[in-house]
Amino acid sequence: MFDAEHWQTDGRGKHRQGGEASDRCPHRRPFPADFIGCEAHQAVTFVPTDSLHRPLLTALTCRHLTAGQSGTGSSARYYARCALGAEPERLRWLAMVTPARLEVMRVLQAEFDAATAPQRDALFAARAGWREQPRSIELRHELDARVREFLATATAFVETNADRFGDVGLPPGALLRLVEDLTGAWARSRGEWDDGRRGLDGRPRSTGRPGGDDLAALPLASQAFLRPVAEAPWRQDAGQGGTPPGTEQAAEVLLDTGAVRVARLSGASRVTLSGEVDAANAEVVATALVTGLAGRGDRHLDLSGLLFCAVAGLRAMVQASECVEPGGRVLVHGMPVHLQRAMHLVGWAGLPTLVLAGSGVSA
Amino acid sequence: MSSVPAAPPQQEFRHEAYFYSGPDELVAGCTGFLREGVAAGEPALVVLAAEKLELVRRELGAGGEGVLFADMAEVGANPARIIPAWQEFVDRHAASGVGMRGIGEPIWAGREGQELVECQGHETLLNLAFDGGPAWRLMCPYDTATLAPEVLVEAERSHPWVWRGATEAPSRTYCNPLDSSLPRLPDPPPAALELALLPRSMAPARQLAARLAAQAGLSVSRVAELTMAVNEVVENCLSHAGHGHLRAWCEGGGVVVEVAGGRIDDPLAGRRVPDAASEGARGLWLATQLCDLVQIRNQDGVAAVRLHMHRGGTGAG
Repeated sequence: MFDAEHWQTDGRGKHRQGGEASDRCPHRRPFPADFIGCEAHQAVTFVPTDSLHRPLLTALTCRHLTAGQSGTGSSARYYARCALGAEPERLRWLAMVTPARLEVMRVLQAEFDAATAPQRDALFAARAGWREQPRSIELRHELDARVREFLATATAFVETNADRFGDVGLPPGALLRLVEDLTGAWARSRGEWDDGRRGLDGRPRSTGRPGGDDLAALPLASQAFLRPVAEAPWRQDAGQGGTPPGTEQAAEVLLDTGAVRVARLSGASRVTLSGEVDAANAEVVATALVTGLAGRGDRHLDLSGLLFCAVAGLRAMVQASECVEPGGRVLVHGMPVHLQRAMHLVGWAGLPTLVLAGSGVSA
Repeated sequence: MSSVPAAPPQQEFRHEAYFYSGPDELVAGCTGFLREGVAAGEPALVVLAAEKLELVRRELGAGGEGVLFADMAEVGANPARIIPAWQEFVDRHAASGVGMRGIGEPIWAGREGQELVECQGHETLLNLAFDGGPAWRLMCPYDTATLAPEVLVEAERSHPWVWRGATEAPSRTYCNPLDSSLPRLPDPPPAALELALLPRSMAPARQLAARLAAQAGLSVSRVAELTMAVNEVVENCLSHAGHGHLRAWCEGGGVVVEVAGGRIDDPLAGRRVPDAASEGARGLWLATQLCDLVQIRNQDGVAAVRLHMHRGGTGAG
């Protein structure tokens, strides 16, 4: 579904010095249907084709799986590359999308795949036939008919589930335009994007890529959802003064248990808390936060890399805020709505020392 | 039309069932009860379904000054949230020294199954929560025209006083709350997912709950809230017992997660408003506030906490 990235191989990859790429997908493939090994995993149905573009079988892959290339020239080798990047980047993507949204999206994806399976298979078969005989007007019409059938089924599914798509941040209208654009471009392409520079309506695309305009119309978190981190606009925030979670330049790491990380930008009053905080690590988190937030005046706590936070984690923030020097406060950035609600329910809203940044009200 | 006559002055909490038939009797009974309180300068809170609230409010007219209204669908969607709401009301007015009046109808014909069981448990716990505290009257209307006879029998067991029309009498079958126990929880379906809970390891439970909740069709925010509630209950269980057992399944329009382990001896667990300054447990409180239904039992030698989250339920806020 609306798989903007799967149909191409961009060949880029990042390498550690000495060979092994840090963005290599560490998991066994093909992925089983109940795969739970990677928190960022996004199952999509993939139909591999033979050299004549005939569909071979239907398999499950991951939206983020691409081919990376290591080495150059005759020593070049391909490897299974995660488009999100290495582990910290996968987690950053997950925090942006949020684990709850990803779970709901996974269910929608599976239902969509099941609902459109017959039309998708017919579409693949028609495309293979046309690519074998590209001059055949008949086969071209056959392909166009299958595209329309697939889109009609996809449209019916999205419209039936409009509320659920809206809930995950994919407005049905924008989503359907994206699906239509990508499907049309893919069906008629010869494996390159070159002939996809115009939409089905013949208008040239401003972004020069199928789906680009539609993607740009979606909310930022939804864009992160559909395209790899490497291209996501939010990633460029780093150069504009924003601090994407986990990308601390010259950060002083105060705690890194694997599950949770506390870091302080050197010389700054900003501390990032990322990962999962629960009763098992809340105590060490509290200690790290007290250290990181020590100092005069307003301190800043960035939660945009937080994947989960228990009440014990909220308590750690409250404790740390109470240790700030008199007159100072902890301004919290990026607290998810359900955590704001939890703070309210357990009676920690309105504390003078712990304040939601930007809103003017206490966390 | 009948109306509830003045009761003798009372010095304690008084929990009364009001058996009525149809909207006219409901309105007559409620307005009589409220006018009496208004005349005595007593603050009052009425928690009914929205359409019944409107009937009472209209009939009271200008005579209802100072009477507060709240929608039972919001306050009591999860019946375990009703006692803290009354507690807040009582705490706010107890110091004034005058009496207080409440009307709350947590049980109506649409409430069935485990939800009804928990509502009946709530009625019993009200006695435990407020007996021995400030003096106030809480009247719980029961619609005899639409409720099953066994529901009315149970109401007489949980209310020391029962009004029938204009006649009030002590209940002959009232049961001390400490002596009454809730029925066993029904067995989970055979298809329930199971997970052994190991010391200090909450993440697997969170992952399982989130996945199942998404499969049950819950919205993103409800998935996040259930994940949080499950984590708190699992933390509670592990901090007391060290280990435990989780079972989860889809049911009706949602998902149920059960955490079993340790013991919970406080019958009002999850119903006490946490004090911002205290270190006390907030886990069950938060779960109760976030979930649509929370069931707590000590059965088979362990405490079982069941969290229900519906697909389109109403959270507390």
